[in-house]
Amino acid sequence: MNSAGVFIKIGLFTILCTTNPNLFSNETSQLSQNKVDEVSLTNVKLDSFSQEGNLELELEATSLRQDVSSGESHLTNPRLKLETPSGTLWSINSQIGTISTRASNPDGISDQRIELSGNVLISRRTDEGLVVEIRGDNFILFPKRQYAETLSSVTVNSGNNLTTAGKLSIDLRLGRVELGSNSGNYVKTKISELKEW
Amino acid sequence: MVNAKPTNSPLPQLAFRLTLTMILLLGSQTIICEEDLPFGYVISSESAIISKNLKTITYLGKVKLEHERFLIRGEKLTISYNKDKGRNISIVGNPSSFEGTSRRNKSNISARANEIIYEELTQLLVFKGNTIINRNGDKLEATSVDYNLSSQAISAISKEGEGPIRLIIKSLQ
Repeated sequence: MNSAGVFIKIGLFTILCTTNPNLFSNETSQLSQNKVDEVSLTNVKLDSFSQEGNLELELEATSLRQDVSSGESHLTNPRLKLETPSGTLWSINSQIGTISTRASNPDGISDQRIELSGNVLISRRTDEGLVVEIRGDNFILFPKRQYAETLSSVTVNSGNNLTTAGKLSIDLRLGRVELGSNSGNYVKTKISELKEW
Repeated sequence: MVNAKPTNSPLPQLAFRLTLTMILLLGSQTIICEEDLPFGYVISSESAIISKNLKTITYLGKVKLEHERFLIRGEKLTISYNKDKGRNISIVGNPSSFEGTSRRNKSNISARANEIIYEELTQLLVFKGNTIINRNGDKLEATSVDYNLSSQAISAISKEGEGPIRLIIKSLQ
């Protein structure tokens, strides 16, 4: 690779890290700059580390296209992995996604927002093998706030239970999922009985 | 002389692929749809919280548990799963109410209590705190009452310090 190519790559990587200071791409198979204000990456893997150096968030996508002027990144087939709180693993994937960073919230911290949409599947598995799968049309994650939510209805599968809810929020600090109702649609769980009587 | 060269017939390959597809389809974890579930009951509420260990779900606000043979209403329902004891459901309200129909004699039973516990494996309903049960005009008042859904047996025991059990039997006239 010639020195100019290396220069461009370092420059673009710096732009990405400046707009998303907590994201570091450690696997980039292809990098191109179609326009001056747009960066495209294919087969990306972005890792986010805590201040203590622990891997908090892992994001993989088939492609990433970043608008340099707005700092917004558009993803295809994003796959997210989170471990928060420690020992609680979340796996989330969807058809498309967007990463954006607001300048700063009232606390003075830049607020990163990852929005996933299209066939969103959120799954969690415990050490004892219990699995919960949540399906919906969208999912918004605020990694720094340790909070996530959906704006539309979700379906939750766990064991032989099927739950439908108008909206969902996750407190990632506590590993707790909260389901809510909207416009008259209550949270509804259908449970199959263990024993006939 | 035997020709060891394999034939290029697509049939064995097709059969193998079909078998593999069937195995994958049958073995894969399928999405449960409402229609696929065997008969059970439905819980509805304004909101719900799934615990971190996924073993407990708490339903809050205008909670209803609808079964083919009974309906329980309350303000908070907690459902937990235990490997040995099965599912345990607790409904708390001010008060919680129960409406059911006896399968044997088609009589109607209604009850209210501070807490109603449904133990699924034993088919036992436990009414706790200020319990009042009405069946065919007869009224039972006690601190705690057990109602076995399978046998339709109702039992009440007054523990030390608790008020007496009161049974009001409807006049035959």
